[in-house]
Amino acid sequence: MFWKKKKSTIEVSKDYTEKSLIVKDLTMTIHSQGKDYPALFDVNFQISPGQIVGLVGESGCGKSLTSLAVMGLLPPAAKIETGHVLINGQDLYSSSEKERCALQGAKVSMIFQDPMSALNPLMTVGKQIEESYRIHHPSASKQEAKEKVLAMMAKVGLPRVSELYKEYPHQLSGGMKQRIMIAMALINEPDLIIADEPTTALDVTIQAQILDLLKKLNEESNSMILLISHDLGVIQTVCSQVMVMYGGMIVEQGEVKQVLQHPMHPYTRGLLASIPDPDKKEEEIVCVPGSVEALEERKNEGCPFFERCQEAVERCNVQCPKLQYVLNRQIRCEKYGGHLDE
Amino acid sequence: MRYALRKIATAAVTLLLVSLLTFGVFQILPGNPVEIMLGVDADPLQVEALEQKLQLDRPIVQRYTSWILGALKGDLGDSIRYQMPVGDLLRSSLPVTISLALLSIALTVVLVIPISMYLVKNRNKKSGVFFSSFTQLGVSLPSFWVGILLILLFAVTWNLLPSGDYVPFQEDPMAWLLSLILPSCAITVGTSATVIRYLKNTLLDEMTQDYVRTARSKGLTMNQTLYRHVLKNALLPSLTVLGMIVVDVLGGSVIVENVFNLPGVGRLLTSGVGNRDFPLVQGIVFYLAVTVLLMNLLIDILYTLIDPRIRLEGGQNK
Repeated sequence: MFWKKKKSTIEVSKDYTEKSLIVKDLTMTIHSQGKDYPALFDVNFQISPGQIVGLVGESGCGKSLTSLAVMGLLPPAAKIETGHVLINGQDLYSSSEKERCALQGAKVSMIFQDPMSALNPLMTVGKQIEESYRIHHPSASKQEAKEKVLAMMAKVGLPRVSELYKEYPHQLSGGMKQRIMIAMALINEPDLIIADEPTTALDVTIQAQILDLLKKLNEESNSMILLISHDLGVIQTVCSQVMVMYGGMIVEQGEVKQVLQHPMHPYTRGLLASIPDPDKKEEEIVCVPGSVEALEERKNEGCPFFERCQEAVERCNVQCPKLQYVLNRQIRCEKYGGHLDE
Repeated sequence: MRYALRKIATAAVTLLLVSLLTFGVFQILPGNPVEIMLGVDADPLQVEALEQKLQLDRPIVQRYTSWILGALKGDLGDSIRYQMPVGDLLRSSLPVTISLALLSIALTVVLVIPISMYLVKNRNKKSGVFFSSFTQLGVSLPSFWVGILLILLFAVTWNLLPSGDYVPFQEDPMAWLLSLILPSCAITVGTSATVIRYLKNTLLDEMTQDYVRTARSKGLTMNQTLYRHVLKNALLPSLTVLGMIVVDVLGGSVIVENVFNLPGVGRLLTSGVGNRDFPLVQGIVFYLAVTVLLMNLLIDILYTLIDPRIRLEGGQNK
């Protein structure tokens, strides 16, 4: 199998003080019905302090799996074949469960897609935020923890915090719940925040508020944010860097200005063309034909986008292209040369 | 307040329907108490005299209304077979059944949570799979078989515990407890296996919920997540199952009471049905119906205590 060819080595520094996220050569398989299927292939990226990096792609492209891998919350069926995830230099997957738990919630935290179901319905929202604080600050007094929580709730823009503290998730609106999620993710002042489609389940007006909040918090604390979204508009307004994923691979990666203004990969171009343009009402909306193939149906060789690509040539079906530096970005496409197997 | 009134009204209607149903069933059942008491070829004059004495010669509607009016005043009538008030008969057998029920439910509750948690935590290990198969066994074993086995082992072979023979609590608390250990164990094997299987599956379902992932992302270990978040959510549906079991046990386990020679409600009921003792059966069924209603009410209250979402639907809060 092609995904098993490569071995990854990395020098792990023992200095955990410098903020950074490094994902190196990450290749992962999902075990399903007795077989291993490649789910992520050769994912490489870095985030440095102050950066907001976007990750785009259709559903099933591996965005969420990437985020869970960085969070250390992989589903039991997922297996890392090669590669490393380093948070502040600490390798997540060579750490013990205890070390990993000390990292989760404290140094890296996550804002989930659906705030309606991501909160425990039987626990007051205040307690849920407080729990996050108290696990990582076991010596903090009850009073201290509560004050901290109330301050954080106010900081993320929640009204009448002392009343809200005692309320249950079902009593709150979607936007408020997402703010609770954000407060929970930020309570320990993490270096890295993973936001997995944080605004998808919310109203448009609330979306903008939540994005502004994330951006503001990022500027204040110089933290790193990995923002996952299928909405290119969101990425464009918030992120500095962007990665486009398809079929478990990063197909184009670079500065937002470069990649989204001058897209090169046929998939990126297709994604951008699918955004409806209000000036061209009469025209039909252009879209990428076909849909993402299910994990079980993916072929093992050639470009994952081959079936849907209108510019594909015969060679694309045989050989998987390598990620190449072309015009200030990295791109994985036959058109821009370079093959994995060469 | 309106909620309470509605509950009471439904309870009254249910009780009325239950009494009508038992009454009706007794009209259809073959055999009658006089025939059983005097034999098939009794003197017709004697039969008539006894029927008159038991007021069985009166029309059905009249018999029913007089019973219902008595019941409203707390008088459940006299047992035909035992020639004494049904209320007194119930009062003498209820303590046995209630003691047995309380003990076996307490045992069940104590066993269920830690065992279910263990099975869930070790579901992918050999030990978990091994012990899971035991719950299947526990569900399928009949309680009388377990009871006889327990008597054989603990009473006959090792002579550690008495094989039943109820001792009232007021007489000797220690003997009371000892006399109930084996029968409640016999009941608990089945009940706890049922609840464990149910709770284990709900726990596994709950573990796929999004809030579990959120809890894990805070840095909680799997164990902490299970106890702090998953358990409470999973307990809700299991509460209903437990409530049904409580009602079942409070109704008297006929078989276990017979195996262990305990004079409880279950044995009273079998004797009542066997003798076509209508007032006695009607009285016991009435008691069972009240138990079911009270239990359901209790579970409703527990639900609202555990789940804040239900309070809103009741229309009391907010």
